[in-house]
Amino acid sequence: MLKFAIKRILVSIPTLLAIITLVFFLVHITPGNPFDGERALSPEALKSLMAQYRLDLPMWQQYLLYLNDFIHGSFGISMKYLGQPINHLLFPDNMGGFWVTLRLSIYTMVIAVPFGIICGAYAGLHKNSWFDKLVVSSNIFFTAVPTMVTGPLCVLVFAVTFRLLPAGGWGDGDIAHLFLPVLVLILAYTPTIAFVTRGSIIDVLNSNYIRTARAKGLPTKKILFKHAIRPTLLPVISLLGPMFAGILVGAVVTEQIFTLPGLGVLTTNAATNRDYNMIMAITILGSILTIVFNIVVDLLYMVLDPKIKQ
Amino acid sequence: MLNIKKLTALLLIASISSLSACSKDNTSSSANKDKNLITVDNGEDAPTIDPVMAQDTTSARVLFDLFEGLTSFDQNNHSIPGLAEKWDVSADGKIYTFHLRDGLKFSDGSPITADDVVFSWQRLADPKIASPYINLAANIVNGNAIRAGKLPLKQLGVKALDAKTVQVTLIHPDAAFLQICAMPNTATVSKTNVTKYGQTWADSKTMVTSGAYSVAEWVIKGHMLLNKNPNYYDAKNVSVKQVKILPIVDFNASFNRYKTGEIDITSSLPIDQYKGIRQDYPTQEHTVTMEGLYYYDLNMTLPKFRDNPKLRQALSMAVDRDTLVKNVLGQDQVPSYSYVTSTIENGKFADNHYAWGSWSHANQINEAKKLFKEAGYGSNHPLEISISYNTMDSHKKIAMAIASMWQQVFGADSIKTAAANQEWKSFIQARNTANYDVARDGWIADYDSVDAYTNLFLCKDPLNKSKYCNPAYDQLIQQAQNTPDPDKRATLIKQALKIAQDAYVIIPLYQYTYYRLVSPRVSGYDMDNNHFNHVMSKWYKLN
Repeated sequence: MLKFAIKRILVSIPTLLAIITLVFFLVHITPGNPFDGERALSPEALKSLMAQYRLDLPMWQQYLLYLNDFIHGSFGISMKYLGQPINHLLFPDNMGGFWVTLRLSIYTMVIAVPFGIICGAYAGLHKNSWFDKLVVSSNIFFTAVPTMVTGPLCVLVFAVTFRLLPAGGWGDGDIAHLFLPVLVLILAYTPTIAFVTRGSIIDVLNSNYIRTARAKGLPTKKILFKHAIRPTLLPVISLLGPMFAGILVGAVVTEQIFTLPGLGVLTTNAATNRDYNMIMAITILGSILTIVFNIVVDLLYMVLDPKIKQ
Repeated sequence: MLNIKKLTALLLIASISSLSACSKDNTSSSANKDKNLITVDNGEDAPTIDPVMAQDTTSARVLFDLFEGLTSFDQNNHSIPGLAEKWDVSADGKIYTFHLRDGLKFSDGSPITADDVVFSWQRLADPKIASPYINLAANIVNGNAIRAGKLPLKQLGVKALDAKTVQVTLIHPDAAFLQICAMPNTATVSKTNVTKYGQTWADSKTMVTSGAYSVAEWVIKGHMLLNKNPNYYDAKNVSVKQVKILPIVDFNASFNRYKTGEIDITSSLPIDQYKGIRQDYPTQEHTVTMEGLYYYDLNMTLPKFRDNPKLRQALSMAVDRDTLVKNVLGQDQVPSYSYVTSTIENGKFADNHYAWGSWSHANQINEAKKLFKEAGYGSNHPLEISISYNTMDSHKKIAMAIASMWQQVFGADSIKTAAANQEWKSFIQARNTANYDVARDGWIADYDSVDAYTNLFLCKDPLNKSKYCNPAYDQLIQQAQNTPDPDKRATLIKQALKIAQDAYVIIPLYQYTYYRLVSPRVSGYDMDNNHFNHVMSKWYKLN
């Protein structure tokens, strides 16, 4: 398994390099530069800023210097938050940036994953029951009603009307401040997990080997826990990897509604401001997370599916 | 279905209770009763807290708390003594001698001296630092040569005569110079602090400040916490001990947090709820006319505009500003028929507007039609025109409204309009390089000087987006700048403005407004005459 992991990590290096190269050139050829604004800078000031950020060099030189910085663990300096290192903005010493989003994602996943799997499994086992219908319809409902709607609704009900919880902000990362954003994310992700689990368990239970096991007279419990659980989890796990990476870099709407100091707002601002270094950093971070989670998913697959091990 | 029913019920309950529980004006919405802490929304994080690098209102809002210059602003935007308690001006209006207050100290307790003031001005003029407001030093002796890298910084016309006296020598007299001395960009920083930390000096942890507050904590996208600076010269009159500044981008989120009492002052309002909020919070909501103009540039590098003054005039006259302001926008903006606002320099240029602005709408339309025809356009030779604007709902609404006004006045077969919607940075680049027909534009004055607007039409000014150039105009403006007599200066400026206005190179549309909610527990903040939106936390008091 270790050999497999190392092989996967080595393969992902060229992938990452390709992403960096592509994004670097795409970002730099987009019209407009980070220092264009309503107030046009004087030519001297612009020249000096371009030099400070190495934007006066030929593109290939900028690219090589960027790679060099990246290998040394630096994402460069922000062009929007003048003089602030990107590393410091993304991974601040105090609470903020990636750490906020990470906590948000972990809390969400810790609750949504077991809850979703249990609900989905129960629904699959009791196909066409009222609970099954609830799982299916809530998946449709929460896919159609995005966090952009559930978020403000939760704020309206719990914060503005009943004054039970704060309307936004991070506070000290306490439960009161985290409750609503985590709830909204759970509402967004649990139904999908449950729905996929449900579909998977129904498929597995209809498969030939389970029918054979039944025919052999094995007790239902044994069939479920010995034979059905592993193949049921396979599609769920392949869903969870990208989902976790997705929340980490993509909880933009939730973070904006609840005014949390996470990565989301940094991401949207970076693109409009042409903060080249910030766009690069966030894309690279997103890619690394996706790659890592995919490797984890593959490893879990190996554990769950003996066919892949061979 | 069960779920939908439940949710509908929940929605109903929520909306009914929100209607009944809506904290209206007379009820205090403040759950936060801490008298030492005020929480204000600033709409975004300050991109920089280095005074010379600031170029936006978000940074300025924070910097007005952290730093102070030789002068300061009162709530009516008049310049008042700051670090300097008094000053003398030479008879020709070119030499200012500032006398600093006794016992001035930075937030770390070190003394503020004339050297620090000189150092701060030199930073502003330093081409290596690349201040976007470097032009504030352009009128100081040698400022331009230093900016171009031709002279060393120490040659700048700002000198320390002794530890408490600073002398500034200007190239030509400037009625607004005391205002410039109150701008955040010219504020005094600690030479020791900046020299010690170099490029990273503006780090909230090590930064030393000269204003009423200092930074206690800064979480980007989270909050900035300011503590009262006990060493500030007027500390005894600074009432609120801590200020929490939030960067809430979403106006709805900000409004919700205001309703729950988490925020005492918002940065703006959700536009779509503007009328409702005004009704529900009549004493907490404030709408203030801002010192800035919204206008359309006509691209003077294009022959169709450059060679056809009648067309330019017709397009300007055909826009019904009253309808635009009342029905399309509806936030109390003031229709504009002039290249300057009627409020700048206490209304000195209020009479400087198009005479036809006061005509009846029917007469305006008739004249516009006549000019359009004389310009050579009609159904047999339709005008094709595209309106460029950056992606934003309000810009789109305005562009649509103006296009339909033109079509109504000139006839749909005589003018073909297209809307060219662009993303912000691409738009800026297109507009700066005159790659447009008609472009949305706007300018907000930084301080109370008509120069803010008159500079927009100078041949070589980078802000001149219509690329209009008339040496006669430039000459009059230059003459006005060299005139110490204020009345004579005003006359020259009016003459110049007449030339530019009669050239119809922009279409002035309206004067901006800004709006925010102020909690009833806050007093001392009188924003209704604050047209420049300069805000300082030292004014606040908490009840």
